[in-house]
Amino acid sequence: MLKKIFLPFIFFILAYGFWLSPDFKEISAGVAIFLFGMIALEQGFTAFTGGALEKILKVATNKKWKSVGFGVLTTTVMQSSSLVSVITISFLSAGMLELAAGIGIIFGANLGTTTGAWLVAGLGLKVKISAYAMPMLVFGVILILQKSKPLKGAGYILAGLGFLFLGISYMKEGFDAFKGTLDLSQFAMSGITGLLVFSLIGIVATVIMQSSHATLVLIITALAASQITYENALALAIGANVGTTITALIGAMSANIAGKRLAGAHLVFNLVTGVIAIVFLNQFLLAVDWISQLAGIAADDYTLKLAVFHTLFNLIGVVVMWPFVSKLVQFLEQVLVDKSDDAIGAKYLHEVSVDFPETAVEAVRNETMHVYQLSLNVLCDGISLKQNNILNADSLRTLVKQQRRVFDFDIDEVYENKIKGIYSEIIAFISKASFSWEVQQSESIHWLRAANLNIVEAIKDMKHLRKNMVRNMNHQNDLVQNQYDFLRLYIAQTIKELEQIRALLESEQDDILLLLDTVKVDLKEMENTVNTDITVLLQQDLVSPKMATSLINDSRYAFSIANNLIAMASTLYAMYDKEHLKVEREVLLDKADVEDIVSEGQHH
Amino acid sequence: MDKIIEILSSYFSAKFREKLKRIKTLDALIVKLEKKERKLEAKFAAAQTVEEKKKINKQLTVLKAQKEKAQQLAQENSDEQG
Repeated sequence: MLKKIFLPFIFFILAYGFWLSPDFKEISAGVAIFLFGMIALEQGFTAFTGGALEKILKVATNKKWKSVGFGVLTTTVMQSSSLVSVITISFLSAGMLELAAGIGIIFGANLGTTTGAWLVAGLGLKVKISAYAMPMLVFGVILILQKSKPLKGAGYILAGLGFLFLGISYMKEGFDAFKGTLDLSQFAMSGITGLLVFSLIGIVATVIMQSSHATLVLIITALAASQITYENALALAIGANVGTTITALIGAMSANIAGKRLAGAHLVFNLVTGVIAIVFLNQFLLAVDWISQLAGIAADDYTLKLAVFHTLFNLIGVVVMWPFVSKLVQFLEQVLVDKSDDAIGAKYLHEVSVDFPETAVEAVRNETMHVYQLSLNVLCDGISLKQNNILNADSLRTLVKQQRRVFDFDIDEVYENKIKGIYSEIIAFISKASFSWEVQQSESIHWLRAANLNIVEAIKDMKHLRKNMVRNMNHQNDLVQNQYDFLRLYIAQTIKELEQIRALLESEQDDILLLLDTVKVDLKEMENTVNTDITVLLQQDLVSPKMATSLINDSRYAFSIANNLIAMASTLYAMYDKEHLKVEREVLLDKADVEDIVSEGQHH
Repeated sequence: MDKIIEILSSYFSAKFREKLKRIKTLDALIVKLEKKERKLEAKFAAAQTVEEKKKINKQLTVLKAQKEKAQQLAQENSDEQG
């Protein structure tokens, strides 16, 4: 209801204001142009986020202080903390970033956004920036019309900056002219009432404009035209900082758990910072005067002093909150519980990820790993063994012999309820994403699609295998029982060896693929044993031809499960340098090599 | 002169640089495999049970086959280079 009347209400207020004052119209147009500039700027930078930004983010966020630096730098360059937040949420969702690092980036982005105040107060008001805006717009639009993606991106950035400059210029002129008709400074309030009222106005203005940056520019231009007092401008700046988190919170409502936690961290940070700024305002003012004097800023240059204040209180916020980041992470993880482990559906795929190819590939990889994890349970239950027991058993042979109870479950139902949904989401995500990507990422995604298919094939094979296995696991003929036990052992060993290799991923070993060759040799040996045994059983009439046929068919299913799992691992576990991978793939043993080694081993 | 320019331009071509990178990666891999081989041999010598010896021996055989393949690829590359 509130949402429905909000927009018409704003329209009405604006229309009334335009009718009342042409200067108000000019200021509002300035704000609109400024916001449009920010949209264009974001669009431009998104064109470049494909590779470079993601690569930088990977190396620049492995330490907390580096994350803060990254936040400062990117927000300074892009002049948009919201774009930085979007990228951070995307990385968090894809599982490429820890929450603590994400919080570091947000702290940094808060600091970085203060550079906007410096730019406007230091440059925007002292130079006639509209003179730069026009050529920027012309060149920008020409570049936007080009087909090349980087040129288009550069065009959006240039036009965005042009619009920002133009917007600032309109706001400045509007406030100057406004002074002649209406002196807003007569509404100035002093003391604690003024502080609270203007902080609230700052919050409301930022929520309406969805940008603290725009609010701050508006504050600085109004301050430069003496339409508001310095004291009230400080309160507005504090309000703008808090207001921006409300915008982020609204945005996070539809985001996944990672986005919600990050927005929560943002809110806590800005609230704490805001409270500190309000409580210690007098001390801050003294510090601002002292710093301004040191920096050679004139005592009556209130716009620059506002920029000093804005930077100072955000910096103090970072310093105060810094020791509590781990506690904040703990708190957020407790309050905002991740229910996705129990829920049926994708965990890592996020709407935003698709715009950032490397993040998207990583999200698909993590999601595929998720599918594999779920499938492992199905495969282990399929051979009536618990996953934990397989991984911790000293002797798989003994485990298989001892565990004879058939696990009763409907594999189709588990597949439909737990796996198919995520698998479909991955496939939909891939098809949505890969068309617009660079060849390299498309290639990675192609491999991952194949890995998903391998997992699903393995489950389908398990479904077929189980039909006879369930019946024959406890067959009265010990020889038949032994054969099915051997197939169970064969699959259990595959799973165990692959899981042992997967554990090495954390140590960032870079020859994982080559380790798979030993698994292949092990399995080939077991395959040969199975085939020989069945032939002997048949030749010596120890099993009926019908049973032998079942055994042959079922061993094929078991071999297929193992081969699919190895093929899956060769994609999913390959997470390192592409050049290295390429060479490793060439060095990998092929089928003939594996057979040679096995037959050589048999001769010995 | 043309020949020199041709050699220089091929040196700076993306294909050439790619090849250099590949040779470097292959060499690094061979060194790594040799190091692993020495480690496994030491492990084999220290192994107590037949089962253990058999397992390590299998790993050694696989490793040697991989090394051989890598060396062959490196040889092919340097032949092309020459």
